[in-house]
Amino acid sequence: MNTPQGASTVTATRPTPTPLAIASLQPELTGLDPDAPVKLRAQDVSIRYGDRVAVRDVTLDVPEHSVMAFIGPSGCGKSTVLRCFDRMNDLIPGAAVEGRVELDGEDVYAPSVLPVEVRRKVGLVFQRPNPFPMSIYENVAFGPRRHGEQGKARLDDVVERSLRQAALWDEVKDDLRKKSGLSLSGGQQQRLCIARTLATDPEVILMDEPCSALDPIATLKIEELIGQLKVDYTIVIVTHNMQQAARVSDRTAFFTLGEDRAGYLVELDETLRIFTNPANQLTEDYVSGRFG
Amino acid sequence: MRRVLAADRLATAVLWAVAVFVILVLVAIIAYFVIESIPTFSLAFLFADPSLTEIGGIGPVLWNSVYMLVLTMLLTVPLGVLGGIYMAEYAGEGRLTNAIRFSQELISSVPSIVVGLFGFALFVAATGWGFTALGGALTLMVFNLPLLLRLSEQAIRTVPADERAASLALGATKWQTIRHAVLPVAIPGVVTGIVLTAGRVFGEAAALLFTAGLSTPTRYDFSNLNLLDPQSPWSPFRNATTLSVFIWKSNSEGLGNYVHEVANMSSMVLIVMVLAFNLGSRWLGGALQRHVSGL
Amino acid sequence: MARLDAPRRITLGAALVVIAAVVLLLGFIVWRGVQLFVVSGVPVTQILSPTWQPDPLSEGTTYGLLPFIAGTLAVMVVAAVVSTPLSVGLALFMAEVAPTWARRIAQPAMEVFVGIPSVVYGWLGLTILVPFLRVHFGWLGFATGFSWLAGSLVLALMILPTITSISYDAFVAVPADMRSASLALGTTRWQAIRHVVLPAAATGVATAIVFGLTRAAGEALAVQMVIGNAPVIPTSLARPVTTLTSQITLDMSDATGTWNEALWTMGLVLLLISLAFVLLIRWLGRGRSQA
Repeated sequence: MNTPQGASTVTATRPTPTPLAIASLQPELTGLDPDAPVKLRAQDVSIRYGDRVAVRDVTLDVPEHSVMAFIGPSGCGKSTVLRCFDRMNDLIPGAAVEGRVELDGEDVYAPSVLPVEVRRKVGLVFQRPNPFPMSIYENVAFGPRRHGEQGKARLDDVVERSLRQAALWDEVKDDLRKKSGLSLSGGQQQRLCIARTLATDPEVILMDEPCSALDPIATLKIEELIGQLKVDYTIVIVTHNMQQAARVSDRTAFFTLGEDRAGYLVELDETLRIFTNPANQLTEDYVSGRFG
Repeated sequence: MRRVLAADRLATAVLWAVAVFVILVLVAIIAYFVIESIPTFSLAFLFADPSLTEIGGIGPVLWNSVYMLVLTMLLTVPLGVLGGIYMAEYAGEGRLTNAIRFSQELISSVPSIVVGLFGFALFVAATGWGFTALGGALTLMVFNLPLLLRLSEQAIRTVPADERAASLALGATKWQTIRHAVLPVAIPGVVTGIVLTAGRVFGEAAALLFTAGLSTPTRYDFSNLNLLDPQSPWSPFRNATTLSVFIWKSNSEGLGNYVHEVANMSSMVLIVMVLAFNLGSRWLGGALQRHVSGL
Repeated sequence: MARLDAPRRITLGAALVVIAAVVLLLGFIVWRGVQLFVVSGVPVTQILSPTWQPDPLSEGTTYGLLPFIAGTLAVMVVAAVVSTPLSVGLALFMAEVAPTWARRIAQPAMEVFVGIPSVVYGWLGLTILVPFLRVHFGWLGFATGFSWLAGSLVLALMILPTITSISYDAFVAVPADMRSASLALGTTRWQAIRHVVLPAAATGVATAIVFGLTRAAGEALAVQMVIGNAPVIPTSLARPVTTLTSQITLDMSDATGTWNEALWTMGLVLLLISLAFVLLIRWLGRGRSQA
């Protein structure tokens, strides 16, 4: 899991394609590995809150070390699907998941599996930055401490490594213990939350509209970061921003609302194809701005 | 991992145990009074005169409790609600507002017996009235005004800014806005506050010991309507031992052959009354809310 | 213009009644409370004496208030020690653990608890707790059952709803996404409570406890009924003690002269104690708004 620092910059310099630029690219230039093992899988997943079906019959695979974006209009259930993978839906009273959700081929909802274990392997970055009201250091060390790491030297190490990975180290290294996580700017807070997630050494990082509360410059930093992180991690990101999906993701899943008010997966494909030549008319309408 | 999960289960079990324990204590208290009261309770107990040789009743003290309640609320409600309007609508930041808030907090935490002493010094001794229902009611007003002020202020503050803005935009004055746009919406909350305060008045005893008096009431003649006659049950210038004070007094003095039975039944009556106020305030607040929002 | 301002002036007048009440209250209690020193010439230091001998008919009076002050503090502290784990536990239960149906039982139950008048608690203590201690724990020294512990237990029950409801508010005020953040990092619910919710709500819980202490220090009748009212420095939980409020309750109607003045001085001490608590609560509140 711990690749050398330098190795993770491979995709960082990828130019930011505009929709026009994408159109001129050829699919074979995307460099996606068709044989990559499946990290996350949803099979015929339906989620209901009480009597209301929020999402129905979603089937999709997320290959390892790639970025998948979930796009679609508000209320189409993309966040709900995202939160199946770390069982955060369990926290909502009345929420029930049907179908099969897999991490590395194992059923995440099997009776013998503890949500706590799943969430250690699958980190979640929230829509609004939510650092704890503690020092920067304590924020990052929170996960490792709870998981039993007490050694000071090792904690120092994890904190530094995680903050470096989240591209925040240089900005905060002098006041790690002095400053509260809440005293940082919004963009810094969100990178702190990413560092906090990385410190628990997850395999998958879920991001639920991580930039929707940030300004464009902070957004750009997070997007660069995502490009670097996918070398080591598998990432799924929910976003409202189609340019963002186009910039950061390898594959894109488009969800929408059915006539029964339940969300469903319309189309999943390589990001390039979704934005240039989607198979479904609904997708085309959405990405070209005619809908949503 | 194992230890962490075990700690989680243990903590959950402990929290459940605490909750069950506390609720059981409460249920036991209520059950105790109900079970102890049933064999001797009759409706006549509510209306009969106290007696030293038989069970008698609590008619006069119950009357006094109701009388004191009405008198206290007549004094407290106008001041409390108007003051609440000021704090919610007019008060800005500043020394005056701070002084009012500090006064509210101070009176709220001053022991009721000290408020009773104050009431004695001012309404009993300085005025020369002696122990009177009016003195007791004024003391209870001092004690409860800050509470009602705060509850009314909160109720008025929950009215959305839109309601005010809409009215002001139509050219209404500030007072017209308060009167016709804010208060109607705030009324359910204000009424809830009033009823909750009333429940507290009903249960209070310490502040009344030295203000409304301790003497056992004589038989009341309700046809005597002379408000200045200390013998009239309608007069504010008379001794008025309330039900709460009566319970304390009969126990501390140990008078009568049926102290135990009388105290149990009186306690039950007191609990039922206070509960009725609490539940009543919920129900009334809810009903008014539905009425106001036109549902 | 002046007419337009009438509502403002009327409502302000109503609010000012609260200030007037405080000024009058402070004035009267301080004035009557210092009579002991000013009029009767009792040295101020004498109130720190452990000896309470107010009866003018016997030789040499001493107006030592130490037994009452120590008794008040002792009864109050033990009540808080007993009540805090239960109240904070119950508040945590309602805020963090309880399923909806359990919360629907617990919340009205708290309101019922608040509603039970203090004389009723005193009566319960007198008829159930005191005999219980005498019969079952006589071997531990509870000769009569009237004791420091009896007073503290009755108070513990009375301040339970106070501490519970204020700490509950403090827990509920911790943003939900703090909990989710912790859980998403793979912690258990108890770890999230222990390491996120409790620290974030610490000031609120401290405030709740101070409110509980305030109520405990000021409660009169319920304590007076079960405590035994012995003017001694508290040394054993099993022995009768007394408090400022109990003594005022008991003696006020009979005591005259200097004895009576000493009771007013007790009232003044109580007022100063509650003033200290108000300032403490304000200070705690300020810390929170800055954080």
